[in-house]
Amino acid sequence: MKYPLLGSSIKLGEVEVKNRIVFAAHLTNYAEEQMPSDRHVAYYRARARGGAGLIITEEHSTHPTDWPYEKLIAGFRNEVIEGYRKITDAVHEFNCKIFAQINHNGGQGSGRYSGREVWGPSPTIDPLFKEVAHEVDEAEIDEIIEGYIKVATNVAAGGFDGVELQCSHSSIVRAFLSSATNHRSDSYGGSLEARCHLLIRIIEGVRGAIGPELALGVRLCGDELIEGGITIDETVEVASIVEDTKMVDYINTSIGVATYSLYAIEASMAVPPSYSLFIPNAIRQRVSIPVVGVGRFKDPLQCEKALANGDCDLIGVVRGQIADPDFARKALYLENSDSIRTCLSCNQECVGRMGVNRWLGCIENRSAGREFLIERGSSNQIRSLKKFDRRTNTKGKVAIAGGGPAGLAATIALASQGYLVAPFEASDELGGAVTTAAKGPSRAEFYDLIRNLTRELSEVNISYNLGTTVDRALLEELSPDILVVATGSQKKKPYFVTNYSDPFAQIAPSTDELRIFDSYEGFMGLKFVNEGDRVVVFDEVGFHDATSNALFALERGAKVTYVTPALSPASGISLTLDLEWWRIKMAKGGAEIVKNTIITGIEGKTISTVNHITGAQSQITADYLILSTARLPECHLSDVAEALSIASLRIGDSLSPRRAHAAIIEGSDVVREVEKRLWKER
Amino acid sequence: MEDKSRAVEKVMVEISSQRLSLANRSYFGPIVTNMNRRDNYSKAYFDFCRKVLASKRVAIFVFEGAAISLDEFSYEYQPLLTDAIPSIKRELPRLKGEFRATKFLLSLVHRGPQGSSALSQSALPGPSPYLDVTSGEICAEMSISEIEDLIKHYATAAQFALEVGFDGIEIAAGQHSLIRSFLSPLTNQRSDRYGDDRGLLLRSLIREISKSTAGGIVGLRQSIDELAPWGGFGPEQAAMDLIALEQELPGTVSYVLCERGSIYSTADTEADYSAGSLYNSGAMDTFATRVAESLGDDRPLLVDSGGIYTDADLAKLFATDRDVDLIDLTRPIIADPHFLDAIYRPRRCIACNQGCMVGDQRNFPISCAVNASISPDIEAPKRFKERIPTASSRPFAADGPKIAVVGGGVAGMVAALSLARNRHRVTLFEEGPHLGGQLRRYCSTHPNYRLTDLLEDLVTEVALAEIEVELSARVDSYSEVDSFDDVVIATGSNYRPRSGPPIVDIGASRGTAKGQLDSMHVFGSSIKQLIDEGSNFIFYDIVGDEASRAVVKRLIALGAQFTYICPDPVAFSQLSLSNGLVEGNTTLIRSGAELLFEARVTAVEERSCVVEEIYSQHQRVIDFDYFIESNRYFANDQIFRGGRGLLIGDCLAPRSIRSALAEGSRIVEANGPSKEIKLVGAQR
Ligand SMILES: Cc1cc2nc3c(=O)[nH]c(=O)nc-3n(C[C@H](O)[C@H](O)[C@H](O)COP(=O)(O)O)c2cc1C
Ligand SMILES: Cc1cc2nc3c(=O)[nH]c(=O)nc-3n(C[C@H](O)[C@H](O)[C@H](O)COP(=O)(O)O)c2cc1C
Ligand code: SF4
Ligand code: SF4
Repeated sequence: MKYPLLGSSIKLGEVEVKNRIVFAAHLTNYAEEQMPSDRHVAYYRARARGGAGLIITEEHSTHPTDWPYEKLIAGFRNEVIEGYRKITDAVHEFNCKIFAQINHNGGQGSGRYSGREVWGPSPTIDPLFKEVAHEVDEAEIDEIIEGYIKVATNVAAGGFDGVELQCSHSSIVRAFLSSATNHRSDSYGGSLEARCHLLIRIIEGVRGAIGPELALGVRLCGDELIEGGITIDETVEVASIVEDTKMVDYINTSIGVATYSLYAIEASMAVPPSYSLFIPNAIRQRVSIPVVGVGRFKDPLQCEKALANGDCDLIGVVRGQIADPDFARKALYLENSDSIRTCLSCNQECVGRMGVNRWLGCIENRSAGREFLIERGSSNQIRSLKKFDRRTNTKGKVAIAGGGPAGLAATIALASQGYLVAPFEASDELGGAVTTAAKGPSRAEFYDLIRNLTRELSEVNISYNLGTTVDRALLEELSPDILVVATGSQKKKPYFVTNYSDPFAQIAPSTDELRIFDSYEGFMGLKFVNEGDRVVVFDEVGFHDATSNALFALERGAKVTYVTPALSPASGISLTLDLEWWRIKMAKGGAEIVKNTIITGIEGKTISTVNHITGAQSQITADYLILSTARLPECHLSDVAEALSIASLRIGDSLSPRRAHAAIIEGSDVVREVEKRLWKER
Repeated sequence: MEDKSRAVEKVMVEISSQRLSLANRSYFGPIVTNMNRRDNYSKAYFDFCRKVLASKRVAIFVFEGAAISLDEFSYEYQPLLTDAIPSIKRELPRLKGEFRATKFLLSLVHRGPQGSSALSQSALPGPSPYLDVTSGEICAEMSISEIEDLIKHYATAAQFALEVGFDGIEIAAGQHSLIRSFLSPLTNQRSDRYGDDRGLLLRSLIREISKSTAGGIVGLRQSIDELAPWGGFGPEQAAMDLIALEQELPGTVSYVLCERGSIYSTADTEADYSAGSLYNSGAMDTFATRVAESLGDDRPLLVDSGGIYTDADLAKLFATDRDVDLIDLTRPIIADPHFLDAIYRPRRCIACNQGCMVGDQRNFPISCAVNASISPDIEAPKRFKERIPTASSRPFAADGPKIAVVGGGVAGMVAALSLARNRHRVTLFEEGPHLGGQLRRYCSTHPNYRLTDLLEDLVTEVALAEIEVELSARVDSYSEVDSFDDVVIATGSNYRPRSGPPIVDIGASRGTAKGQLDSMHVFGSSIKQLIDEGSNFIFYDIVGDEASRAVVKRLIALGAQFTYICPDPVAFSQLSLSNGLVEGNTTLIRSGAELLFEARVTAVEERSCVVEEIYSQHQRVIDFDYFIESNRYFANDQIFRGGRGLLIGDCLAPRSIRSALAEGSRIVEANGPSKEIKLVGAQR
């Protein structure tokens, strides 16, 4: 076995877990009317089938005052048990263990769904929800504990193998543990022991409810990253107090506060891997029960190293298994870890969708969250599979123009369905805009999207025709049944720009001309930027292309001014938890941020702007101007095809300039569309 | 003699035009409730309909919009017509039977570029590719065949709507719509016939629809002013579009609901109080005059929408001689379903949008700040149910348990009312000389001028109910209310200064003492003196809610010199849902106040504070004369903590009028018929 430690079994109390790979707790927004759904069943089943040793489900709420987001599972209602059963049965089929995380979010919520006040140890205000908590009294503390017991009982009845108490980033228990939010002077506040009082009572209650057979774990926050909050030394003490109860079988870990420093919990690629390993490491030196380490584990080698190093006993791999449900199977049982579709830590479709109350998905994995459709045979792909008669082998010839994510995904989908494919990429490398995007500072992991797709391409034995531009002559020669246009987007000149500069031309720095580049060509154009040059980034869109350009220039010593018409900068990277890191780097580099401002004209090196709220006009002198403005689809090949009476289909940015996930969706679902077109043709 | 009739009586006149006969001029619009599901109009939604239709007088009631096709999926609980048909068939006939005076219409929706691809998982269709500020997405230019499909979908949808029993349909071509994006020169840059003639889509669509809706009502919700400072269309152009439609297809459109707004003015369709009353009337007049000039009497009926909250607003509306036929009364009816009754219990809409605007991804079910009964029934908290004894089931007799309500603020008054209605014997204790609590302290100068209405309405209701009110009666311990069967505590919240500089007693120490200032004092009159002296204020706003905006607006109105500090990237983040965020920020930015976003106050000294910029961790010292903070109100529950008595409103946790009112209403579960308080006659 390539990863012997990762593949070895471990006992958590009485529960034997077959390997060290844990699918740790995470919200999915799959609940329907606060109940577990078929979507959950299929989702967890896929990860169990994929070889995970232990699954810890998303949190189950313990009390009606706890309803921070709409699709929270109301574990305190008896009706949940039926759904629990379905989930645990599905998972147990694959010799995978499953625990339920149970929780009360306390003040980290709002009363909008529950119609209730939120509860907390002291009347403090949550930084995100901004509601002042009701300071719970003794009777209410009893009610909280009863809630935990009730849910633990439901969980046991629902067939779970264990319970995890969420006491870390979003929890009333953490609020009691932390001096920042616990200002009580009764037996639940003050000394560390007193702040642990609630936790201990919950542990006792829950253990009583689940009996000795089920495992009980506690998830602790290693550092709240807030002023006066919990730090690692205290957490180690808490872990030790928890162990002393002799009722707890393992400790899970995390970092940060979900309503304040979420960017640390579900860290994006801007944060180095293993950033939070210091937490399990410190705890493990103190306690003898197993400790779980979590945070940006992307490949089995990294997991094995952490185990070998003694940092932790189990590894939480969350996004890694969202992106590839077969992570564990490939690493441990198929011994084919190279074929793992590694998570990008882009947060775009997993975390990013949680923040807006949508079901969890994945930029790379079209099936994430749609497993239930596939099981039912009603997903797009399956639908087409069934409709199409595979034996007749009359599937068409499909030409694919463009080797970005859309083209790659389409080629893979079509080839694996038995189509004859002829894929073309005009440049010498695959990846399109993704390749450019990955050149941004701290954005290199985004290129894994292309690496993974390229590998899948080789698995279907297809190679791209690189350096080949699709044109009329080529189309005539190929005469495909259908052309898939995946040629991406093109820049559009805003009215205030007469001409873009040539990004390939090396211009001496003495030039009087303002060099203007589209953000997609910015890294190229900024190659020659000198220390002290003045760079303006104008951002209408609010996403990584603009922010990466700003950092790129900043790293080269330029004086950067970021200008946006929006009320707040780069809103698009806030959901992906990149905003904080970007802002910190921008602030460190002395970049200026100008809001509510549009460009009205350019004269030599002078950019005229107006604040569209106040009407105040001003001018900025710059050497470079980088524009992130609305782009246009690049789709002229559709017209060429039409002239030749060849059916065509636009996908990804060439349909409408958006983000990579849309390219993957449309590429993966291309088979059905191709069929539709061919059908129409005939 | 004083004219005691209500302006609403002018609404209650029959309409019979060539195109439409209606019981009266009232109109209830298609409001997003989040009560439905993609595949059905829910039982809860039909209950909501029944609640708002309680007067049985609403003339036009438009159902929450249905998506006309699969690719329209703008919000999670937006019904898809084809899937929702069975649920309509099941319930609509009964509803129609119960409310015979009402015409029921279905709004047919495609938001196009203003939708959400996160839900549809496909590119948003639009006339031309442009970056939409609402969705943040660039749409895909529709091909001719896709446009033809859209027209077909609309026609089929209209046909379905009539088949399942609706009296007609309303076409969504207003602020948030694909059709508007075709009508607008801002977003339609096509070079084919749908671009050369931007009204072509609308006309083609109505032509097709009218084929399948013979005898049915065809309403059009039209944006009559895009409110885009550059390039968009205004009321003149909107009128031309309608006239062209009439000339080509005379008589097909029964009514036009006029709203304003486009992608650049998202907060203008259902503006809150800050837009004032009758905020659409300017555009409406231009539009209506044009239409009437050109079409004469044979024109679609015109519905005025926006900023009509109360009888007084109606009076204002009728004071001018305007070409207005129907009146959109959605919000006033939500706030008070008996609004259209000649005799009614007043609970006037306060134009706050805090409960009825739920159109974002959080999917809050609709509620109303002043009318808690409109929300779907939420289970009362355990302690409420366990504690409040049930009254005898003998109807209309106040022989139930004796309850003391301590505190005559919003929560206390509403609790007393709902207890009294459920046959409890209630005594309401208020320490001050008047009822009204905190609301009374700020409402007269609060920028939401409607809050005085709320206070008046509540005080009137209490006066008319069988509630024993004890004013200037402070209750300091349970022993004082020992004789009661139970006690409800609604003592509100108190300002508690942070440690550091002194708290200023504004009445006593004019111009001498400086330090921390209770945010409530901003609404008093003594503050003027401090401002006239040229004092410097700091407003440190962690909360960013309605109250914060009120403080800011009041400071601006008084011409105060102040610095606004907040940890968020924008001010008033809590107002994104109620359409107050952009308005509030714009006002704040234009005021010229110094603004420090993404900053924290780390220390407050006698006359200065240390402010840290969150990202750079750069610190600076800012001087002040008066330091105001938004989250210094704490529950006033010290005396009653952990004892007998139920805490409600701010003394449970300081929040808003909405929650105080909701908690007060839910204090007792109604069992049996509630005891109606005397209805207020037509005296306003
Ligand atoms: C979408 C999402 C939701 C999450 N929700 C929870 C949660 O409800 N409770 C919890 O304890 N951790 C939650 N987490 C944190 C994960 O358990 C884990 O700590 C984090 O994702 C880092 O691990 P990874 O890098 O392997 O993804 C969530 C993570 C993600 C990605
Ligand atoms: C200065 C100030 C302004 C306020 N403005 C509003 C407001 O505009 N809207 C609102 O819902 N609540 C506002 N509040 C909060 C409500 O007044 C408070 O939650 C309500 O009165 C609670 O009722 P109770 O005192 O009966 O418990 C404000 C509070 C303060 C201190
Ligand atoms: S969306 Fe991105 S971060 Fe999330 S699981 Fe997929 S690849 Fe990983
Ligand atoms: S929530 Fe506010 S605006 Fe809406 S109907 Fe009620 S009082 Fe009126």
